[in-house]
Amino acid sequence: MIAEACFILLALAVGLPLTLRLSASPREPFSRVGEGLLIGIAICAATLTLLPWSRWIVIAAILLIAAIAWARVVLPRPRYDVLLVLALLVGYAIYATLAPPPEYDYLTNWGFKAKAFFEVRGIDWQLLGRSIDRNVHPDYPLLLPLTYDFIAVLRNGWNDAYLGIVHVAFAAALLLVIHETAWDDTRSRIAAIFIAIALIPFAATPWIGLAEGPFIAYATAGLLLIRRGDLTLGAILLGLAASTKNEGLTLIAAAAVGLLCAGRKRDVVRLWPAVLIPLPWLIARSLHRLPTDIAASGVVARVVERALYPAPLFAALSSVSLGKPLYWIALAIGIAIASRVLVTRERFILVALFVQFFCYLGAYLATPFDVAWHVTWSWERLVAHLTPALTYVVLISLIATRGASRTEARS
Amino acid sequence: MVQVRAMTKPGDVIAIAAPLPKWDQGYAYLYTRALYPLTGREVVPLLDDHDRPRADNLARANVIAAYRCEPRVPGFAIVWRGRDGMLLRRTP
Repeated sequence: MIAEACFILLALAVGLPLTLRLSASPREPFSRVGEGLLIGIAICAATLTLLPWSRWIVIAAILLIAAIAWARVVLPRPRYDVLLVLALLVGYAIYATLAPPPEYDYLTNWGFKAKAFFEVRGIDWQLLGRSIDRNVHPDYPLLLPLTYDFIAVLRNGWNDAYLGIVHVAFAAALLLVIHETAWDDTRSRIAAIFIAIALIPFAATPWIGLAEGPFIAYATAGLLLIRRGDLTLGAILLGLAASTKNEGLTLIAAAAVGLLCAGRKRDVVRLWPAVLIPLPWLIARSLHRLPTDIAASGVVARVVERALYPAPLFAALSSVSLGKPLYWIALAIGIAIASRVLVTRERFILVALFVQFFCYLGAYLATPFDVAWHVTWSWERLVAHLTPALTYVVLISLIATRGASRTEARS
Repeated sequence: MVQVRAMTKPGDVIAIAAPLPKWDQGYAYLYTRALYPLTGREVVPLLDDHDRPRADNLARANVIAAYRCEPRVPGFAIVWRGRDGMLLRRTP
């Protein structure tokens, strides 16, 4: 596991100082470790698109960027309370590293591409251009496969035994962001810890090897930062979400609509990093003519037909389990109690999530595959993209509602 | 598959043979599961997703990995036999 540990240290070394330079005030380095890790992982993966796949070259490049970025950065006092949240991830770390990632989508898509690229020490455009199997999805962005490759380059060999640690790093990073944002929102240590712990099951996804965990980390962290006005960093994280899964592209549009509906028109332009970051991949995949299955010929006819006769789609959606019913009941009660606060204060997140949800339904209308098959194998994961941010704003609104009713009672 | 990987080299075109006549009734799974352990080689199916034989892929292949079957293919010779299958290589 030495290569995986070195990877996390390198990601932190390069990501944290850059995060501090990019983030809005107040810049508290220890509370930015989550964002630092998320951005550092992406920088490590990105080096493989520019540099030769050689251990010492990529290490030297990362350390050079880190050294430049660390200049004049002052380290403040760390906050230890968050370690309680991270300690609760130990069980997840054991689960994630019990065996090499066994998921089918890892073996035929994310892990397959990473391993195939490592064989040729570069992005194998010939392989992506070849029609191998629909599950290979050559149009999917490459941040996660290149992350796996970065570890393989550090090790100078392919070994998937401990690749699950990448998913633990993403979960930890997201929980750090959530803790920091909750502290910022509530100014209560207990509330911040409680919310971070409550969101562990959402950050620690069960799909080891797939892009869901990394996407949820980038997307949720991006939305939460934009929500609190940290536009540059939030937009960068949204761009990285779009570099992890195609769903991130619609999330950028969803965030823009959310900002408009929240009366933050000027902030929409400041989302430009989110568009810029995935652009090179979009250009490359267009130049290489990599097919996107959703956009396969006849897309308009499919959408119209399924919109006119939606019964099979609804039947498929209702047949898939979406986790614990108790969670949804609690969430519904929370929304009912805090509805006023949610509508007035959380319009950005709610609208962004609603638009994204609508895009997911649109994808099912457009799919060239059997709707029941497509829904069965993706619906639970797609809903998991949205629930962390939704749960966060409901919990924060409940705390705000309780605070307001206490103030009323006192007066 | 570990043995197939050990006995082939990067650039080999490996056709996957199995006693599974339908794409959606096992063949697709077997074929796609072979992709990960055999990276670096070109793994090709001998069926398409409409269950039609892919003679073009057989013509391109220089290796056949046969799972739980013993195909006799002209121009190929058995080079390894294991508990769950065998490996055939195109003869010069």
